[in-house]
Amino acid sequence: MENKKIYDFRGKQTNLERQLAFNKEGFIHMIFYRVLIIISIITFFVFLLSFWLVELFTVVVYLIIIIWVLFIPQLFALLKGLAMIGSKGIEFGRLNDSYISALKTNKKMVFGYALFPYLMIGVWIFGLGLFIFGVVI
Amino acid sequence: MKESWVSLPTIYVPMAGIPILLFLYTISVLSGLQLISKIFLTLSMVGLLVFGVSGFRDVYIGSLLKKSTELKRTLKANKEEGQSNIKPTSTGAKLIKFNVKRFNPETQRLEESIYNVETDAFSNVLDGLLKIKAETDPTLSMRYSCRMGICGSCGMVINGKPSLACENNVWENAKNGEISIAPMLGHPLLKDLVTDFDDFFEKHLFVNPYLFRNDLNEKYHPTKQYEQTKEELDKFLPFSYCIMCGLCVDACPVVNTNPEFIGPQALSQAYRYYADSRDEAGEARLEHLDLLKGVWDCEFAASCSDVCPKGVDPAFAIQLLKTEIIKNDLSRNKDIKS
Repeated sequence: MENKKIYDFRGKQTNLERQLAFNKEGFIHMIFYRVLIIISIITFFVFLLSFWLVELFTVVVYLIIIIWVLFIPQLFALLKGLAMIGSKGIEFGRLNDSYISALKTNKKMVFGYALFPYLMIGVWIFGLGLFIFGVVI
Repeated sequence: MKESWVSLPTIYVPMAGIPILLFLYTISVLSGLQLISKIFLTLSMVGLLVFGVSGFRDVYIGSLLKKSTELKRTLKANKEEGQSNIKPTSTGAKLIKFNVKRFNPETQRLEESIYNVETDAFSNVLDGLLKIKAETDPTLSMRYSCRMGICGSCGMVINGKPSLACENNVWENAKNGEISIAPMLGHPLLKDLVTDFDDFFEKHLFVNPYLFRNDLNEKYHPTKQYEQTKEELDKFLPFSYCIMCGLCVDACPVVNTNPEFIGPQALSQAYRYYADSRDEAGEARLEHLDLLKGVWDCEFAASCSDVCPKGVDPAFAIQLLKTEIIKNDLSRNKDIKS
């Protein structure tokens, strides 16, 4: 059997850049997630160190603010996923058009799913405000 | 083999837990409850560590395991480069510049060839490429078959977006008289625009894309029909439209960074069979996919659904699978306790 010569371009984080051409929201989501992973681990260790060096607790507070911001796209995606599941793919889904129109005709529409992620993100951002004004200042 | 621990420390649990804990921490600080605030802060920090470590293993280690071939892009324009583009011809056609990035297996590089192609209002990208092959450069390789968006063979990247060449009109996609075409880099490359689908089909096979029945007598000596209601059909119908074009896999940022991930096409088909009322392998299917390289590697960028030409919405299917796996784990834990 002839061996095929194949060349694999996959396996590099720089490939995320390909998203920019057609899914900018997805690109932001992916980049923020990768930064969040690193910041999360750093925050934990800075928090541990802050038991011995109390001044480091200020760094922890600022790191939490960064984490809070980095969580926005992650949380939005999670909420969108929940809204999508709740609405059977009608909201935020990209199911086949003819299927969706048949679904809308035959089923009772459930309202609120389209608003749910935006409302919850609003609460999350309000929480950040609370954190900054309540804990930091 | 099932990794039973997987569904707990995945993205979802820390993602739902950390925000709530941070919120509770903020509220307890504002309320002056110092001890409670410290508990919430410590818990959120532990949550962050779990989130960070599981994510690190998933995102960075996964991609480090796979050594990719470095592709370098060189420019190799043909003689027609520099000619003015988008000229209306006497027949009402337009000259469109096709910038085709071709993979050269000898140099292992993407080389750009530029062709000016006369197109009319109804020409699709595949027509343009076939015209190049017939009239200008017979060495240009691409995969195609039905020319009407049914077979899913002519997947390629058009202006940066994975698309079917036969379903994209040239004039609608030409920006300033130019159109850019490249192979799907989310699959291993063979030559020019042709990609290798062995890995794709292996992953498809991994999810057992067929119905399991326990009634073997009925299977070999059928006596009745397996009837389904409209509701039962609706549960899996849109996911059965998949034509296996591979665009979703190419668009998936996780597959692009970690080829070990099973990918959106296979997972959407796993859900298609799981949701089918005729299938009797429900729980076993979920256990089979409860893996880091299974459903939990999906980060829900939803790029797969953006590019799907048939409206299969693989991202939705994967979220449904995640929900079913969590429900299944919870109900099993409940059973064990009772």
